Amino acid sequence: MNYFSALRFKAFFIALIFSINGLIAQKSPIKFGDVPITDLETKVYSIDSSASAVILCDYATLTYVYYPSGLKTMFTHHRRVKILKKSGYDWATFETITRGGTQESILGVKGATYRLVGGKVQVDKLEKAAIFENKSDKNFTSHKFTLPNVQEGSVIEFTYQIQSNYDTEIPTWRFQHSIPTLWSEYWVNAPNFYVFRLHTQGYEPFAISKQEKSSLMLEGSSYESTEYHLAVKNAPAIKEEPYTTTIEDFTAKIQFEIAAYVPPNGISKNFSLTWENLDEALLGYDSFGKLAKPDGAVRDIVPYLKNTGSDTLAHLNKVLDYVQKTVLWNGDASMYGSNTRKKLLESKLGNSADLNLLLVAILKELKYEAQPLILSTRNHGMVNESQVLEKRFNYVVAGVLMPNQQWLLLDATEPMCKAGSVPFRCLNQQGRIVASGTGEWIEITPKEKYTFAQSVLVNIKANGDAEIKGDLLFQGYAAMSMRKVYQKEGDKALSEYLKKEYPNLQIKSFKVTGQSKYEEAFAISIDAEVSEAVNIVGERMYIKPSFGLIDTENPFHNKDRKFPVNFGYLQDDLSTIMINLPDGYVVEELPKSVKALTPDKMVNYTYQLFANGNQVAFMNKLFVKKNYFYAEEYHDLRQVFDFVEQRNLQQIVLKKK
Amino acid sequence: MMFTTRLLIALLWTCLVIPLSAQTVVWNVQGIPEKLKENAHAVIRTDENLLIVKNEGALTRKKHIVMTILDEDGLKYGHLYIDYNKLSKVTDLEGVLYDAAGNKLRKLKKEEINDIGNVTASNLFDDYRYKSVQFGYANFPFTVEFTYEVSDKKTAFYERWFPGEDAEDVSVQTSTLRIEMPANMPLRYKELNNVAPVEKSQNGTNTVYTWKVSDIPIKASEPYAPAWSQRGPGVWTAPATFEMDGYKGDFSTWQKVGEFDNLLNKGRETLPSNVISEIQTLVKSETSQEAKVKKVYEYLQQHTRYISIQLGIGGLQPFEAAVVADKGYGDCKALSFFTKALLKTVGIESHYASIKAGEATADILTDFPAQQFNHVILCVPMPKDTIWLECTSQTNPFGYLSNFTANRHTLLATPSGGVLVKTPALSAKDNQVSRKVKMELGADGSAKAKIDANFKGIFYDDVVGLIHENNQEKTTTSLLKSFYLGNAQLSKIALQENRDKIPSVQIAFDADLKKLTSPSGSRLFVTPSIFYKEDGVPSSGSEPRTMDVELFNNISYNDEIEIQLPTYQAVEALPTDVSFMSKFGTFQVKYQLQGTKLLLTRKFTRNNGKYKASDFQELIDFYKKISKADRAQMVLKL
Repeated sequence: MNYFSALRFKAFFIALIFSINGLIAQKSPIKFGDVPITDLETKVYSIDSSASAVILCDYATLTYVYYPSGLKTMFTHHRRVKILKKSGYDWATFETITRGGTQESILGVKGATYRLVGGKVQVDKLEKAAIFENKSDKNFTSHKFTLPNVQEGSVIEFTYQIQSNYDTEIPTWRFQHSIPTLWSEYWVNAPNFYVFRLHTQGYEPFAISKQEKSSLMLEGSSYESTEYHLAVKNAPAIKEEPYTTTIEDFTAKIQFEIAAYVPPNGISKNFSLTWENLDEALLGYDSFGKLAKPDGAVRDIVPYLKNTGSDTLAHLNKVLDYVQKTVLWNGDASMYGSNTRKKLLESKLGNSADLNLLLVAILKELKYEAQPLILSTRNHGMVNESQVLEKRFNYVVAGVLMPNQQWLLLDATEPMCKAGSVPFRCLNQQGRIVASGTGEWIEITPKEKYTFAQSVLVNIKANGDAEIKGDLLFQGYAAMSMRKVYQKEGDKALSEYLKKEYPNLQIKSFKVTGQSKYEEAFAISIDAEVSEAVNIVGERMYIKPSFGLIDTENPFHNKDRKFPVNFGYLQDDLSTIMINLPDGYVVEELPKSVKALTPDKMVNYTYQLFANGNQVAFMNKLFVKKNYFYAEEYHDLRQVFDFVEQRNLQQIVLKKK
Repeated sequence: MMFTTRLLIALLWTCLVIPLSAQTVVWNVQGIPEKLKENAHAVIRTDENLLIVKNEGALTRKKHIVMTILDEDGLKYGHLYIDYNKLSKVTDLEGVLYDAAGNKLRKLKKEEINDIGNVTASNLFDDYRYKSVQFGYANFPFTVEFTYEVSDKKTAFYERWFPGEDAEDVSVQTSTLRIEMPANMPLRYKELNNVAPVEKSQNGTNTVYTWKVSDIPIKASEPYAPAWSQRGPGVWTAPATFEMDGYKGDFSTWQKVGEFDNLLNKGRETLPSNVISEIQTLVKSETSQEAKVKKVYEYLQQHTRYISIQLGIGGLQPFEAAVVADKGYGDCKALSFFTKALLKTVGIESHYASIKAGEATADILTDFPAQQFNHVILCVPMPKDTIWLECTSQTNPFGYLSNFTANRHTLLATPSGGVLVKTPALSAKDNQVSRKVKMELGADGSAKAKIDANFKGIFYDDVVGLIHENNQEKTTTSLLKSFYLGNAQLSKIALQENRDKIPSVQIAFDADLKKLTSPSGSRLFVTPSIFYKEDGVPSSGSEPRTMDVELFNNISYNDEIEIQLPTYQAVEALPTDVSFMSKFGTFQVKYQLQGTKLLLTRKFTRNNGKYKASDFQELIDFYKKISKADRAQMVLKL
C-alpha cells in the first residue's frame, strides 16, 4: 500500500528523479573503493582480540524519491568488513530480502575484496553473475551475493539500494552484530507529511543522536522534512546467554513507527497513535476482532459447555479442555487467525490465534467477561508501553475478568495447560487486554511455579545394592512439561524420560497418576534398583545420599554476565530421601547440614542430614523466589548454584558395628 | 474344493480391481491391519512409483501416494515435497482429502501448493526448487492422496527405492516400483535385503519391471544399528546408456561411470596464464613430487573457500577451473577439479575422485555401477603412498582424510575411465586421545592441575576448530566441558596443531578447581579417573535386540594421572586395578600409591566393525564394566 500515490499530484511532465546523494546533507565516512592501507595491514583490533571479523563501517541512508506512481523510499547501505579469520568468511556473503513481488526492487549492487599482495592492494570486484536472485515464495525474494577471493586479512565492502513502495515503513537499523562494529551510522530524511515515532534501545551509547529540520525536493518542489541522524561507535559483539528472552532485546537498534500521514492537500490518515487506537484497529480486523466475537458456530457449541456446577475455575478448565481437544495447534505462534471459524472447525487445525480467539468467543457466549490479551513471546522480545506498535506483538491469549477483578489468563495451544497458566513462551513481562474503550495493561505473572518435589525411600542391602521407592511430584510448569511428554507416547515416552534422567536406576515399574487432571500434580511413583549404589571398602560403607536422583549441575558456566537472567517462573525443587541402612552398620560420619542464600534471600538453598538409629534422612531444598535477576546479581546467583553442586559431593560413612 | 472356489473368487476380484481407477478404492481407516498401526503415527496405504524411460534423454516419473495420518505426530508425513530443477518439470499435481471412513471431503486447492526456492544459509545458490504441498487439516484419523508427474531430463538418475526407509513411525501397507523400458534399453538393477524378485511384463514393445512390498510394520530404533538401506528390502536402479543435457553416458561399468565424469570435465581445465606462472614459480624450488603437491594444496587453501553451488547438468559438472581461479570459491567438484588443473601445470597427474561422504554412512554398492556419490575429493598417485586431498577445506592438513571420507570406496576418473579404489582407514592408534595430568589436591577438596593432552585423528577434528576460531572464551568453555572440569579457572592455555599426515592438537593448560571434591567431615573422597564423569554405556533400546551392531570408528584413550595427595592419616580405600578385553576392545586401569602420590594409568581401545545382534548385550556389559571401574573412589582419612 502506497499512501503517497493516493495524493494524485498533477504531473505535467515526466518526473525528475533526483540523485540520492544530492538529497542527503551528510557524507558517508567511507567512500567506495577508497580503503586505507592500514585497514589491510591491521591484524588485531583492540575492541575484541578474538573476533573472526570486524565491521569497520556500516553506513545507511534512507530518503524519499518521487515517481508518478507515488513516493518510494530509497534505502542505501554500504558496509565494509575486515575479515580476520577463516571462521569470519561468512561475513563475505550477504543476503537481503525484498518483499511483495514488484513492490520492492534492489539496485546498484557493488562489491569488492581488497587484499595485500606483496605490499600492493589487489582489488577483486563483485561480478553481476555472482549475484543470485531467488524467489523464496510469492512474497519474498532473496538477493544473495558473495565476494570473490576472500582471505584472512582481506577487507570486503559492498553497497546496494532497495527502492520500496512501502512508503510508510522505514527499515529498522541494528548498530550491533555478532561481530564488533567500529562505526555504525544511519541517516533518515523523511518528508514531514509522514510522522514517525522513534524507538531506540540497547546497552551502547550513541556517538551521534540528532533530529533536525531539513527539506526534500520532490517533483521539483521543496518539502519540509526531518533528518534523523544516529551513530554508535565501537559496539562490541553481542552474544546469546542462557536464560534470556532474546538477544534482540539487548541489541542496540533503532525502529521507526509510522504515526500519521498528513499530506499537503490530501486527506490525513492517523495510524495507531494511542493504545486505544490500536485496540480499535485490532477489533476491526477479520483475523482478530471478528474471531473474538461469538457467532453461529460458537452458539452451537456453547449448550454443551454450560456451567452445571458453581466452581468457576473448574468450569473454565472444562471450556479450555474443550477447545484444546477440538482444535489442534499447528505450531505457529500468531496474533492473527489464519482461517474463518467455519474452516477452522472443519479442519480442526489452526495457529495460536485461531485457537485462543475461539476460546474468547466461547467464553463471551458463556457470559464471562472475556477479552483477548495480546503479548510478545519471549523469543520475539519485549514490548514497550511507550511504543504503540502492532508488530511488537505476535501472540494472543484469552483473559477472563474474575470476581476478584483480576484477569485470569487462558491458552488453548498446549494441552494440559490449565486456566491461569500460560505456556512458558508467553512469560514475557506484560500484555494488553484488547477491549473497546476498556483496554488495559496487565502483568503476565505466572500463577504457578515450576515445582518438583520427590520423596524417596532407599533400602541399602548388605551387598551394596539398593532398592528405591519414590514418588516424584511435578506441579505447575513442571507438570506441564511432563504432561507434554506423557500425552503423546504415554508410558513409552515416560520410560525413556526416566532412563535418560536417572541413568543409574534400573526401573522395575512405574505408575503415573494425575496425568489428565489439571488440578492435581503429575505424579510418578517408581520402583527401582541400583546395583552397587554404595562403595564398600573393608569395614566401611560410603554413601552418596542423592543416589543420582538430584540434578545439581550449575547451569551458569560463564564467569561473567552482561544481561539479566530471566527464568520466566519461580522454582521450588525439593527432595527428601529416607535411607534405611543395612543391618550391622552404624553411622560413623555425616556431612554437615548447611544453608546458602543470595543477599536478597531470593535464592534459598538448604542441605540437611539427620541420623536416627538405623535411618538417615536427607533433605535438599532449593527455592528461587524471583524470576528476574539483574546482571549485577549474577555472581551471587551463580555462587549459590555452585554451592549446591559442591554440597552434593559429600558422602555418608558407615562402619560395621 | 471350497478352497479352490475361494481362490477363484479372489482371482476374479483381483482382475476386477485392477482396471478401476484409484478413486473408487475406498481409503477407509478400517482397512489398515492392526499390526501396521502399532507405534505408527501415519500409514502409507499405497505408494506407487512409476518411471517411464522414454529414451536415453527423457524420463517420466509418476507418483501416486495415499497416506493415512493417525495423529498429531503423523501430520508432517501428510506434507509432500517435490523437488525439481531446470531439467525437470512437475505437472498434473492433484490431491484428495478423505475422512476416516474414506469419504472424499475435498480436492487439493491451488493455494495449498507452495513453490519454494532452495537457497539456505549454507547454500549460495541452487537451481533446485521444490513444491510444498499439504492439506491444513487435523481431524484424525484422515487420509490424503497425491498424484503427480515429473517430466525429467536428469537421465543419469533412475530410482532408488527403499520403502519404509524414511521414518521410524510410518508403516507401509503397499509400495511398488515399476520401471518401463523401451525395447532396446535393458534396465540395470540391484535387489537388496531379500526384496521379492522382479516381475517382468510387456507393455507393447516396452518391458515393465515391477517390485512390490506389503505390510512393513514399525520397527523401533536400536542404537548402533546399520542404516535402513543395509537391512530393509529395496532396489537400486540405474541406466546403462543415457544422454543428459547433451552429454552421452553409460553406467554399465565403473570404468564407464568414470568416463562420464571425464566427459563432463573435458576442456574445462584451462587456467589463466598468471595463475600458471604463479604455480610454476611456487613449486620451482621443490625437488620432491610430494613437496610440490603440498605447495599446490597450500595455494588452494589460501586462495579459495568452499561455497555450495548446485548448478548445471543435474549438479554433476564442476565450474571451469578458470572460474575458480577468478572468483576464489567453488563447491567440492569445482575445487577438486581446480586443484587437478593446478597440479597438471606442474606436470603432476591426479584423479577426480567421487565418494559417498559422511561420518557414519554405509559404503556404496561396489557391484552396482551408478551415481551413488555425494562428494568429490582428489587422488594424487605417488610412487610410494597415494596422496588424498580434501579440497573444500581451507584448514585441513595436507593429505589427511577424516572419517568424513576415510575407509570407503571412491571412483577415480582416470584417463582410461573409472577405477574403484579404497581410501585409507584410520586405526585406533590414529584416533587417539592421550592425557597427562599432574594434580595437587588440597585437604579442602580444591585442586590445582597441569594438563597436557593430545587429540589425534577424528579427535583432532573435534577440537581443531578451537585453534581456527582462536576465541579465548569459547576455548575455555569447551575445555571445561570436554575435560569435565565444572567451573574451574583455566590459565596458560596453549593449543598447538601438528599438521602431520594423521594430525593432532596438543592442548596444555592449568586448571584451578575450587572443589574437585568436598571433604565430608574428617574424610576426603577422590575419584581419580577424573575425565569420565558420564558413563558411556549405550542405552539398551527396545528388547530383544534384532538388528546387527555397527561401530564406525577405531578409537583409543591413554591417560596418566598423577595426584599429589594432601597430608593424610590413613588411606581408608584404594581402588583396585582392573583389566579385561572383549571383541570390542581392551580396557586397563592401574593405581600406584607412592607415599602421598597416587598414579593412575588408564588405557582403553575400542574396535570398529559389524557385530551380530546377539553381541549387543556383551557390548553393554563391556561399557558397564568400564563405567564401574571409572567410578571407583579413594577415601582418605585426614
